[in-house]
Amino acid sequence: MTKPTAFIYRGIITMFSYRTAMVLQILSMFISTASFYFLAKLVGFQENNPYLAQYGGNYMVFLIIGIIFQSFVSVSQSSFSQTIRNEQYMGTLESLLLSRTPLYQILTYSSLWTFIFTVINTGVILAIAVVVFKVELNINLLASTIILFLSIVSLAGIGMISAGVIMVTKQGDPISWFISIISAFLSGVYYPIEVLPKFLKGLALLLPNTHALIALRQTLINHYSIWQVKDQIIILLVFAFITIPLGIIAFRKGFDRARKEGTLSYY
Amino acid sequence: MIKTENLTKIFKQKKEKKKSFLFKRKTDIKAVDNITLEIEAGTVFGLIGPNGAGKTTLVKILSTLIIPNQGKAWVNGYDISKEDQKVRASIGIATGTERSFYFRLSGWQNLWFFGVLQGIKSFELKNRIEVLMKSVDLYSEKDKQFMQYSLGEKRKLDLVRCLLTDPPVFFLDEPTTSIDPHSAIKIREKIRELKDRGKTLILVTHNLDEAEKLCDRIGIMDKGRLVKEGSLNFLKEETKTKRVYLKLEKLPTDDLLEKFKLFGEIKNSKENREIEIFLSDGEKLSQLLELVNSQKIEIESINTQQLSLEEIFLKYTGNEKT
Repeated sequence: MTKPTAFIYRGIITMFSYRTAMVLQILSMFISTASFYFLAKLVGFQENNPYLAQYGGNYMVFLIIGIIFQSFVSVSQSSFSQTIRNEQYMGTLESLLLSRTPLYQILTYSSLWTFIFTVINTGVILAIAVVVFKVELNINLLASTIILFLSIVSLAGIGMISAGVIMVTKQGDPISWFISIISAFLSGVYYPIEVLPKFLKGLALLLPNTHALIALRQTLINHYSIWQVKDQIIILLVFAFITIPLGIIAFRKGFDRARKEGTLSYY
Repeated sequence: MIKTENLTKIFKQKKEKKKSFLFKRKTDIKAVDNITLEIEAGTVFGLIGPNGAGKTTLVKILSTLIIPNQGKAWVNGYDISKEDQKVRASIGIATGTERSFYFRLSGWQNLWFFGVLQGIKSFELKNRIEVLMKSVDLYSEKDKQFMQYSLGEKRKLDLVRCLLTDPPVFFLDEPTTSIDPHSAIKIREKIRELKDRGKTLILVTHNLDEAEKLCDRIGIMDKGRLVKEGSLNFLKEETKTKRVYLKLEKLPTDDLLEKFKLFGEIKNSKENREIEIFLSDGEKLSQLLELVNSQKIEIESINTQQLSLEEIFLKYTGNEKT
């Protein structure tokens, strides 16, 4: 068994040991998809809506992609800090750190199961939307996967900064909280950024999430190619090059500070 | 194998008195105070001391979980500050806490998970887990969830985990505390076995009897300082205090009892001819005997004893009888 598999195995066993929580989670997947459907039904199919025209005028498609993306945003941003928090709470952080697995591998592998579960979760939502609610998608799988991957990588840097903060604060992760709130508000999860006032739109364009979401919608709805979303890919790459080193530095600093204060095992 | 030079760790601790509405004042606590120590390979080194003496902090510094403020240390020849990965690869640590495993996973699954993280190949890992669990009578409970384990079973699992990689150095933090005698015996057997195999161990314990039986050398810590260190015989000889039992032919006078007190603490009553004196300096025994002779009192019997480890411990940690 490899190290990543061991972490996934641990995640699966833990999840299956909480059966009620698992059933409720699956149930909420169906309920939230149905909610999107009825919400979209209320808003209706708006072919002539200037804001939705580039997405085919279908609000449900627009919304579902926004929600799916937001799931990945929050996993990318919070899974690292959540991992640290869980290990602190369980009392296993020191035991993990004493193993012959480097710190960054522990951090990455610990988040693997959360990412896999999010992929399954969002896949099911998408499948229900397509099969049950007849949502029409025209997916460019390669371009969509690249955009999603780059989004996760670029946001993982922020996630690592959060994890560094959690190492010290133990509870209360202001960075993850701020990015999640701002992302949901400004990056076009629930509405196109064109509806925002000019100054908020300007702020929205500073977020990588906004560009990722624009590109993801185009590759999932309009079958855009990699070339057609190259601008967004470049922005995400630039963001990743900035945030990943920053994340590594911040996490290392948080880790060393906890070691200096002797609070690694505190929660 | 383990060496420290002037190792010091100061923690900032919040005081009760508040600086302002939100912030509390902080004060410095020296958890480890200028410790210099050398432990040769194949030694079982017992670390004893009252709660809060700094034993666990010292072990955590040596295992790279805490960064010291000053001083240097080497474990298995590796610098704890510069070669932390190599230090971790050289040690096995039983933390003594009840919360260092995944509660929802079974004992076996926990060991499997941590074994994979240690880079042990599947086939080898399976064998090792089986052999080690059997060696501490835990194999029959392997499929039980960790949260259902008794305290003794948790301690055994902790020990098995630190044995998985068969490292040259072990840190065992109170491995037998709060567990039943059968489990404690099993764990002590395991420690002896490690010693026989030439492993180097630091054993943190409150059980002084255990320290006497298992350790080649003992270090007494108090308020962050290593106040005394050496073999049990050395500690006994270094501690000048001796217990003297005197049986006199007649009851001692009040005057004599007062004079005895100048030599150390005494235990007896006026109605008793048997007197127990904790002689603060063993070399003063002859003076004590001269004093008795000068009072024209015959000594029926005399017996001198060195202090027990418990008494030595109390002497060096500020709660001595003498």
